[in-house]
Amino acid sequence: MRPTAPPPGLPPVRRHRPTPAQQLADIGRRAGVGGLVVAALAVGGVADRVVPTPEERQRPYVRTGAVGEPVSGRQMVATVVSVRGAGTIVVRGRELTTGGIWILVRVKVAATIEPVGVAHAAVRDGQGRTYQPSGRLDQPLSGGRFLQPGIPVQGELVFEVPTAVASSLVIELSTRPLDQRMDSMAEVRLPITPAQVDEWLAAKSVAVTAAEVVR
Amino acid sequence: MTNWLQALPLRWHITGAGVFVLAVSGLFGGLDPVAAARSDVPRISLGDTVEAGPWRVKVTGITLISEAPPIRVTNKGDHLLAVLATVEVTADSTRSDLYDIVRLRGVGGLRTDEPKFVWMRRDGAYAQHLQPGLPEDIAFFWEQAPTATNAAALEVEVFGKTYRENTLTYSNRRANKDWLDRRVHATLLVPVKDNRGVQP
Repeated sequence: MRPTAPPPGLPPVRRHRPTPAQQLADIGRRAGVGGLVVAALAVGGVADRVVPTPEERQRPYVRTGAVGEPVSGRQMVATVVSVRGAGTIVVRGRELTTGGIWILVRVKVAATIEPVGVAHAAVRDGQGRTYQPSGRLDQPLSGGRFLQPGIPVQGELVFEVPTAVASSLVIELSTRPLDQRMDSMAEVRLPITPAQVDEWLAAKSVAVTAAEVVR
Repeated sequence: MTNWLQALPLRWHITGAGVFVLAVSGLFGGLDPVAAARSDVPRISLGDTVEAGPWRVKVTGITLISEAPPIRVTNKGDHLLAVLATVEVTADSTRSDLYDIVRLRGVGGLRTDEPKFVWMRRDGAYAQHLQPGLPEDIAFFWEQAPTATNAAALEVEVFGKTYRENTLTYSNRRANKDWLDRRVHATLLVPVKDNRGVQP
């Protein structure tokens, strides 16, 4: 096929291939785009490491206190009244032994706005392991019981933990049963010494007391 | 540069694209080995300890009993097969999925696949939870039809789980990780003790 003449007013086509200068410019442009992509990925990678994870952003609002101090949350005020332990507990006349130690935490709780329960209770040891209230007994305070606003109730939460961790426990209390994110949680360190642990294990069994309304 | 790329045969383009896809897939774990096939599940002996994810399990025996009050069988005349094991939670929180731990394989006349009851031998009562770091002797009960006959030894599967990120839902665990992907970690042959009439 014969080449056609250029349209009137335009210079004749002399060369279709890009010049070396054009090729260099093309390579530079592509390298620039590639560099931008790599830079965007790098920024994303750094952001992913620096920005808090959803678990960190949505973690519970922890309110801490000591034994005897009221710890106020959004829907509940909790006070750890006392803590004791035993190698054997008695529940409704039945003795329950353990391979570790029973920890009985006496807690005073009051709903502030509407009926709520101590839906989440756990003790956390120094290694970060968490222990729910024992399912081997009918727990006096947790387990679906509701608190009415303005009527404080005092009762024991009974945990079973390995002896070696008993003096490193923190109790967690919340009104949220499964998902404690984005809500208040009370945390109180339990002042248990290794000597107390030995003493409790050597002592006789203790009876779990029933929950009661208090002033 | 464009010219020499265009000059390459189509086959080379396809091969190059395939290599690129494999490389990217490899970066995200696509070339990792697949889970062990069933034939690769370790065969262990009675009394061996299995590290099976959230728990450590040592199967100690199987006992056949008539009925163990307060456990009552649903169908009159059924007997109970109990797999006895020592279980210690090695996960970092209380476990309540005790019905997932063991299964009987190839045993006739069982009324359910999973245990009907999980029993804490220390209390002689149903076990709801196991606490981390506290080994307990557990009995896993199955109801079995009275017409079923058992071999001298039965096959027990010990299951475990993998601790990994939960990609579907919030799991309320650290870094959204949870124990998932239940699978057999070991199998063993366990002799059956016929203790009908005696509480395990």
